[in-house]
This record gives sequence, C-alpha cells and structure tokens, in this order.
Amino acid sequence: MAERAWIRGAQRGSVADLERLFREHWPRAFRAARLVTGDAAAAEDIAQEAFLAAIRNLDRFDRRRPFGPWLHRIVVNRAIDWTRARKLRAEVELVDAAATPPPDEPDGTFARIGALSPEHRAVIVLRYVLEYTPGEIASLLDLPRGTVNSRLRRGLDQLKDLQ
Amino acid sequence: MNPEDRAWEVVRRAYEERVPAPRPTSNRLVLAIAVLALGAVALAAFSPPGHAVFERVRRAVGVEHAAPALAALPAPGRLLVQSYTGTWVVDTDGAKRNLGAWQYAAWSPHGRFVVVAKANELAALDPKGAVRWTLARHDVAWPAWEGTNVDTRIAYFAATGLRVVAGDGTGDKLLDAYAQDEPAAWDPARLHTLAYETGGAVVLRQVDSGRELWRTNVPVYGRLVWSSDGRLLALVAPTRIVVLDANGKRLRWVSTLTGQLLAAAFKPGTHELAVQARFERVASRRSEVKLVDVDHPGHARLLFAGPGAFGDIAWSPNGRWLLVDWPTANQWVFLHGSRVHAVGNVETQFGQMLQLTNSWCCR
Repeated sequence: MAERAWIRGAQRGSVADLERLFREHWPRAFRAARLVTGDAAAAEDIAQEAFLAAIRNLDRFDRRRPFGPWLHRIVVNRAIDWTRARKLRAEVELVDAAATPPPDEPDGTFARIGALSPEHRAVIVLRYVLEYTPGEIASLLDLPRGTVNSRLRRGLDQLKDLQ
Repeated sequence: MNPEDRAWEVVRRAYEERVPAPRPTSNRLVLAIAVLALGAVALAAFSPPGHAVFERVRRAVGVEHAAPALAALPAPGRLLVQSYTGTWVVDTDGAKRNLGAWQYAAWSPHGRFVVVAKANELAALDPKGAVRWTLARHDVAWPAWEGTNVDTRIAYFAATGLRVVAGDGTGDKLLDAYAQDEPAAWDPARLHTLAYETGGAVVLRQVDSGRELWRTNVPVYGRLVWSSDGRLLALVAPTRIVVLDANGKRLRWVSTLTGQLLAAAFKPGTHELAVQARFERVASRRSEVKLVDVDHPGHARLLFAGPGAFGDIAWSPNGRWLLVDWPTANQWVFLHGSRVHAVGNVETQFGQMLQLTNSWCCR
C-alpha cells in the first residue's frame, strides 16, 4: 500500500520516495535479469535501464496498477532480447582471470537455468522467482496462455533432466 | 559500491535531471503547444501581456525582484498549502500556520474546516489546527469536501476504494471499490454528486442514493476539474484534456503536440481554463500556462512561461489572480493580466511543494 504513496511522491518530485520505490524493486528486478541473461553485468545494465525507462514514463504511470509487473515486463523482455542478440553474435565472454566470478545461487540455479532457451528462462523466472501466475505471465509477455503453460512445462522438464 | 548502489546513483541523477538546466529558449517554443478541439479549437496567439512576461523571464529562472517571503496574498481568501513538511494555512495578510504533518488537505465548502489525511487517518480540523474528528482507514488519499452550511460530504480514497463520509465523520461507506486512484470531484451545481473515474469511464453519481447519473467512456485517466457553475468538467491527463458538459457529453479536447498537460483550473465564474503544460527537450525543460476559452474554440492566450518545471496552479476566489508554483525557481508567481508578483524562497517557507489545487478559498 505504501507503494502507491511512493509513486505519487516520485511523480511529484520526491527523490526520497523514488529511492524507496527503487530499493523495494531493485533486488527482484536484478535477480530476474540475472537469471534470464546469466550475466551479472548485463543484468545490472538491464535492470538499471528498466528503471530509467520507468522514470521517463513516471508522469504517465497509472498509480492504481502495481509497479512491479510494469517494471518486470520491461526487465524480462530486455533480458530476452539481450540473450537472443548475444546468441546471434555468438559472443564469447572475455574473462578476467583475476576477477572473482559472481556467486551462483546456493542451489546452482543460474547454471541450470542458463541451459534453457531465453524464452523458457523468462517464463520460469517469472513463474518461480517472481511468482506470477501463468495468466499474468501471458499478459506481461504478450503471449497466449497456452504458450506460457507449454513453455513452463518444457522448461521444468529440462531442468529436471539437468538435475 | 554494489550494483544496487551504482544503479541508484544513475537512476537518481536521471531523475534529478528531469528538473532542467535552464537555458535561453527561442520564442518559437512558446508556439509549440497546440490547442485542438474535436476539430475546432486551434492555438491562438499569445496576448501582449503574455509576451511581455515571457520576455522578462525567458533569460533567467525566476521572476526578477521577487519578494523574499510571502507578506500577503494579492487577493482576499486563504490558501491551503500542502508540502512534504505538512499542511499550512496562509491568511490574506500572509500569516501562516502549520496544521501538522499531513499528506493531503482540502477545504470544507466555506473554508470553515479543513479535511486532512495521512497514511492511515482521515481527520477534520478547524483552520487553527484543532482536531474535530478522525477516522482510521488504511492508505487514505485525496479527500474532497462539499455541501451546504449544514449538510456536507467528504469523498476520499482508502485501500478499499473510493469512500464517502458525512462532514461530521459519520456514515462512512464504500462508494466504488474499483474507482481509479485520482482525486474525485464534487459537482458544484448538484448537491452530494460526485464525478470520478472507474472502468475506463468518468462517472457522475449521487452519493446518498448511489444513483449513477451518467457514465462517459474516456481514453485516458487524469484529474477532474469542474467549472464553478458545474456546466463543464475537464479531465486533465498528460496527453490531453477532455472537456465534458454537465450531462457527460464530450464537448472538446485540448492537447499538445510536444508537451505534457500537468495541471488545469477553471477561472471562477467563467469557462476559461488555465492550463499548465511542460515541454521536455534533451537538455532542458520548459513550462507554460495558457488560458483556453472552452466556449470559444481557437481562443487561448499565454499567461506565463519559463524554463524548468511549474507545479500546481490555483485561482484566487475572485478569479482575478492566478497562482503558479514554480519549483525550479523556488518561487510562487501571482499573475493578474500583465501584473506579475513573485515570492521567492518558497521551500524555505513551506518545504517542497506537493499540492495547491483548489487551495485558494473563500473570500
């Protein structure tokens, strides 16, 4: 409920309210982007870009709607685009041998989800990390609900095979 | 610095840059607002006073020789100021009182009381700040008070939706669980009759009987503003203003080609609508206030323009003066024809401004 007040405040120029909104939503936005892209640096850029897009559209935002789905839609779609583009470029990561790789989640989630296609990763992350219903995912990604269900089923099957 | 703090720094900077680096701006920019109607309203040239004012302020942020503090209001009435630090009442002679750390405030019909709200509380105060009654509700917002001397109603939003309570704090009830979270607006011509937005439409409802008088689908949501005679209702959204008549029929619309419409207020006793528009450029922001004559499509004139962001606008009760909040300049600008009176250091006096809508009340 405080979120509506933060959005109102941010629309009216309050940096403090914007920060509350940002701090509330950053962890999940970043984690979702990281799980879809499998790349911490890209996830940071994508989540940051999503917040910047949100700021650009803040005056037009309908306060009755929850902020999270609006933000996650941007994050997940950009993360899918980034992952597809990277695949097309057949990009090879330059690894700084001295740098410590970002830690995986305790159960190795990043590694396992990374084996899925970007489209399957997205629905799995939205369903099981961000906890949206299949109907909500269909709406967020502009997909038929049946497509969401089949991607969820196939994604889960592949994850089981990887265990 | 961790990713979250790094990103916050970038986001904060981008947000703060929404408030503009002022720079001299070409006269052509003031022509950028386009005022259209269902085919008929066109942009009108700005008036000579508008020109003069524009020339004066275009090179600098703020009106020169602004008074360092608010000494008096230029017209009779009292001002209800809502800032981040709380709610203030300013008398005609400039005396001001802080009513407390409330987040929303509105006058009672004749300015005898003030309804205020914060997160979990709605309260009625007298103008000196004494509490008359309170009501505990979750997530209270946008109270609005109407009625006669003896029979009043207050509309407000809570977590459950749009609610209405009698002016003595009794009879609280839910009016619409699905109402859009925008301030509802009481019809000044029909007692206890409220306009609000719900389900993609503007609805006019008699709140005691619950009877819906009309419903008009609208393409956007925004703030609702009545003319003082109750014959016009403007829906003010960033992309356009839709003007309805008293029966909900769409009469006109006002839009800008390149800017956002962020506030509007009918001049008391007229069908002239003061409109505040903001124009974003890559490196700057600019704002204007124009007066649109809704009855005469094509008639609009520039009242004031300046770099940066304008906030709310409010007419004096006698309709002679228009108050424009100018946060970029930290000024309030009072306009009356070609007369301009500015007061500086607004934030020092009241804190960062939140709301002035319908704030100047009662001769």
